[in-house]
Amino acid sequence: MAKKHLIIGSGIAALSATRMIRKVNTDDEIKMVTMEDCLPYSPAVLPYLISKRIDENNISLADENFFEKMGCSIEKAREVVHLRTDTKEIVYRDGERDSYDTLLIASGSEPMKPPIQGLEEVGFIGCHTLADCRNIIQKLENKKKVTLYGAGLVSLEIAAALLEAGYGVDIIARSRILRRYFEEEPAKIISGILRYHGAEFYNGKEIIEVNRENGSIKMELSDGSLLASDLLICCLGVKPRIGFLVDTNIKVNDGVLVDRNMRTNVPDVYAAGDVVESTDYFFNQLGINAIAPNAITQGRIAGANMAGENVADRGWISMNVFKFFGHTTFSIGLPGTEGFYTLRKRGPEDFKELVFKDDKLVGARFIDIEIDPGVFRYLIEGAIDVEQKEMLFDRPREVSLWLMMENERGTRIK
Amino acid sequence: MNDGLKSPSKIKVLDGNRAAAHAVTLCKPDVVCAYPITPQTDILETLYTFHAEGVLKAEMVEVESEHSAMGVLRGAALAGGRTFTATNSQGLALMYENCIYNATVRLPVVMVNVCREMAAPHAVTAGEQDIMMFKEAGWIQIHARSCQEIFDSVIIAYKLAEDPEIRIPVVVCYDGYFLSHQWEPVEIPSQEKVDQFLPPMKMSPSVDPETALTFGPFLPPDLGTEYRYKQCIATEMAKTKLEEIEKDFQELFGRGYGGQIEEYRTEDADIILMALGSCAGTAMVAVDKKREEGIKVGLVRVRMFRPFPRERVVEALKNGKAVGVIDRNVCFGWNCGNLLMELKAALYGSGKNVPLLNFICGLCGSDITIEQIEKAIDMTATAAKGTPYKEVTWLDIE
Amino acid sequence: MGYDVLERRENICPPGCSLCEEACSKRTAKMDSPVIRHINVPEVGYHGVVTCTQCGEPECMEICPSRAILKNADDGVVRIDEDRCVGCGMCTLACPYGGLTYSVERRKTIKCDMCGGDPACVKACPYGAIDLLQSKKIKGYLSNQDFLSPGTRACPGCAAELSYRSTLKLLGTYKDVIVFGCPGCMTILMNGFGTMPGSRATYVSCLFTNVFSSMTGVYRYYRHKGRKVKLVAFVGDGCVSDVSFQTLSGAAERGENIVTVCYDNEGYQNTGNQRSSTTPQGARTYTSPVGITRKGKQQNSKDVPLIMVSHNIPYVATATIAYQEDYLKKLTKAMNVENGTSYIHLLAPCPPGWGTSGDSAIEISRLSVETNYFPLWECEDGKLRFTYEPPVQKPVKEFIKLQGRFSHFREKEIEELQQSVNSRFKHIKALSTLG
Repeated sequence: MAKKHLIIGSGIAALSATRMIRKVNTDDEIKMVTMEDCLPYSPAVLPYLISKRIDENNISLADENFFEKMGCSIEKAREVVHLRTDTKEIVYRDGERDSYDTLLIASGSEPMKPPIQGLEEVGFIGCHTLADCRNIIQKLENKKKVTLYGAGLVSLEIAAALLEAGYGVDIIARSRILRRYFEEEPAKIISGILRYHGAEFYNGKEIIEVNRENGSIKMELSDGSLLASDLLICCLGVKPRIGFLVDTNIKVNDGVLVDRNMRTNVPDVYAAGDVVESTDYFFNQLGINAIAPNAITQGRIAGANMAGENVADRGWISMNVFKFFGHTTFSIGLPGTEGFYTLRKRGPEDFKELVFKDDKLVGARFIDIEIDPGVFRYLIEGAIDVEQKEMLFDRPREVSLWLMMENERGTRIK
Repeated sequence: MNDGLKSPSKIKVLDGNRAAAHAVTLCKPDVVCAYPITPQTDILETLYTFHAEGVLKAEMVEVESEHSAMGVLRGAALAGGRTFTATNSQGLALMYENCIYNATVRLPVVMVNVCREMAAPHAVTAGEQDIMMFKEAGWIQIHARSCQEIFDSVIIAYKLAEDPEIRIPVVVCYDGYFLSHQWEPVEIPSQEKVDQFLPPMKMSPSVDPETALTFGPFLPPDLGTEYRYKQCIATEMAKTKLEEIEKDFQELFGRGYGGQIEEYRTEDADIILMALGSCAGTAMVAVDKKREEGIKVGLVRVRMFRPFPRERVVEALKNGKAVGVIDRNVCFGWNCGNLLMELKAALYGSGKNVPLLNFICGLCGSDITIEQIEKAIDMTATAAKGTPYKEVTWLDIE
Repeated sequence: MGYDVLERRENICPPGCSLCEEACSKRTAKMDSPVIRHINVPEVGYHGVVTCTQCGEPECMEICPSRAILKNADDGVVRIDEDRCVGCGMCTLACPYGGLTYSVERRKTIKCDMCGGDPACVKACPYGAIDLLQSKKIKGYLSNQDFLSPGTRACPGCAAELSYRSTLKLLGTYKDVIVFGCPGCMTILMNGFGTMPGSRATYVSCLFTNVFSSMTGVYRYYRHKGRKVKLVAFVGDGCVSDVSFQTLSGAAERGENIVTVCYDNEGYQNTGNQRSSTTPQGARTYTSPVGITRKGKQQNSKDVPLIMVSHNIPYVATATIAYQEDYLKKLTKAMNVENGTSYIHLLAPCPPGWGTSGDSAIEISRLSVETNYFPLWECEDGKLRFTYEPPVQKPVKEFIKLQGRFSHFREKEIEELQQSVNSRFKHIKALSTLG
């Protein structure tokens, strides 16, 4: 009997789930509902709209052909505000309902708003949606200086985009840049490059209060210093968009809780992507991993299981690639803490680090070293045995490729 | 060597092998493929020289055995080509299965057999044992007794083989050494004349990628029988066809050999000699000598040995009171010669019941002398008077 | 349907060579980073090349935030639309095969696009480490019209029949083909009966002994007439290895432009399983029975394809139907030879003759290769190389335990056969290392 799969959200997890459902089953109905009034896009592309590397006509991930080919309908500009898991219905803002046989919550994430006095009046500007981005671009006209609050990856992507577009950029970090991914030493290389291209850093500071004054924005920092700029963009991370689940029986923590099959506590209700809080690959600890590779993996698993298969996730792994001004950083997995065999080398302008637990690679970091990030991801996700650790550290690109090839060929004798 | 081919009719002194080679070249074959074997090798050497000088424009294939040679001819003829090979004795035996195949699949191949004794004993000399072994191969056999006749027979052979009503391969035979290495004057006609007599070969159907035909399927009994029947009809037709062709040949080239048999002084003969091949020439001398002594003796030379010219032979022997058959071969199992067996079979039912004497001689390269033949004539003449006679005499032994 | 892909072979390129990278960087009018890379890890004795594998379901395509990467449905090539690429590098995080490269000049990611079907790296590599595998052509053959007439007969599960059927599908794409056959198992299919042909091809049935001389005659006649024809023999080991070996050898030595495919079912199977010179040592046949006085074939078998290599002909190869693409690729090469004879030796397991179940021919065919009993190689103009090497050599016991003709083998015989397999493989391996 053909099932009706309803997907809340139209982001990467939603698209991956749709593809997978269709791959498994050709008869089921798929319906996607999104609160945004546009075809699916990725938030990762937004900085490049700001730097004008791409324009809005070229960013949609799925057009009408895709939906037709997938046999999936999409309803735009419809916000889901409630779920009736007893009657298996979703409830829209306008009161209308829609039924489902299986439901996928892929509502993604929303920016975290910092507790700054005066922010409401000045106006909180994040950069997570297309609307946000259009807003920023509009506000950037005839402006010269931008302040970015937050020093995570999204913030730095936007910073690089702004610098590329010719704006002056201040970056205010509550501790320092990329704290979650790089230690202080390698992080300095990155900030050094950004500084070279015109960014100014204010580390270890918070914004306490903001005011609009004579068309510019004044900021008072935690150390008492004052900064001014034309625009303040807050990129302090994202949190799962679960507001609409508040009066439902879906179990949530910071995000929707799922098991390894992406099932929530409620039968026939799944969740995938940024909205999910699930166990990680290494320690089986709950956490949120709001990155695109994760959304794809979880979307596929959820989609497969919704269509009747039984596949399990291995657990999320943190990873990211940041390309800016011809430089590249790559970080994946665990940091080199105690108990792990860590190989680390900081050159004057580059950095590499490998982290091992016994014979398995559990983490890696590279700054301006020529490697293939996906191959290291392959080694970690596949738990490939690496006996030649020093060799891999010494020539990471070639040896990682060799390890991958050997594993692909199945000749690795354990 | 080749100038005889570039100018109008010329007389050249050639041996039997060279005569054959000249004739083959004038017939413009498409594929020539032969394996050297004594005493045929001069044919090959001559043809290759012609090829090297650009006179013979054929594909020359140097195969690794006679079996393959006849196989190559099979392929080329199936595809529609005019072909040629030459061999004898061991080579003939080796290619035997391909020969039967080419005959029964009705390919107009022409071959020269330079008759040689079959081993054992290892004689490498003149002998007819090889061509007698070949009786059952389904080929048309023409035997020559002079270099000119060799030359002419090759051209006639192509015409006969390629006739759409016949389409049976022809072997032109002559005695090894006695003819192959014997030099005689041979008149060589011009290419234009040969072209006039022998048009390009047309073969249909032929093996061609465009036709998608299967050649050589398995046949069920009814079709197979019909197949054999048709072959027999065509073979039989070769007799009269040869006569017709030779008439045309005579008109154009001014030479003839009598068709299926050559008769020499048989019109009023009481005693008839029968012979095959070069010894017939010797026999004619003996016949003349005996005629001078008053014996009315004549000679029938069998020219077309297969199909056997039964009607012409019976006709030629009509006045004969006794027949002396000269055999340069033996018919294993009948303790006599092959020509005798053929004659016996031909005469049965003709009402003719006269003494038939067999003279086996000239085996393993020994000469057949005028004296021997004179003795044969005498013995036959004695038998004609009604005296009891020995059927088979081995002239070299007895 | 299949697409063209780059086939890469490991441990063939010399460690210091970078001809492919150089050619790749010059693939467009302006210099660019190469998208194929040579990797060399001498400590483990590995050197090979890495480039995009044109995945069927590309991970890079799915992760790209601006949908700049697409797989073209016609040629299967995964391309990056430069206008849409923002240079974020997320694709490099998704690709496990190292197929993506960052172009410093363009500040965008670039990848192999197969140079429009004529890869620069393939042309540049003199060692044969990279090749263009035109599987669309080969896979396409299999959906071609079947050229065998309906109702053709063969034993259930006959590998030779399947081989012949595949062969005809490929031959049907050529013009001017004439097929030759001779008495043997396949004659039953090929010869036709009465007025019904065996196949929709020009076919010449030959005697056991005159296949190659007949082919010579046909070839020479058409050559004389200035017309190109492609002559292909599909004949058994009885003909090739024994009765007609002389004529094959002669034709090969003369350089006749013919293609010979020998289906080797290791015995005279058509006449009821008698031994031939390719029957392996110890195998049971009716003329090499197992009893008190003797146990199977007393003699070792002869390696016909290697003998053909010694004839110095342009192309010799071994193949078997479990590796159908490999066979059809080799047959294509054989068909394209214009300057001499080509020879392919097909191992064709015979269920009745080898004493196996009717559905086991493919499995046995595969095992023959996986055990190195029948290695897959080709020799082009004297240079021999393997076209497939099993990653792990399975013991020959796996191959023979499925076959009744070896049922009398005990430890000793199995070990002897294993030794023989190993030493033959070593011999071929040594030949493959000659420059």
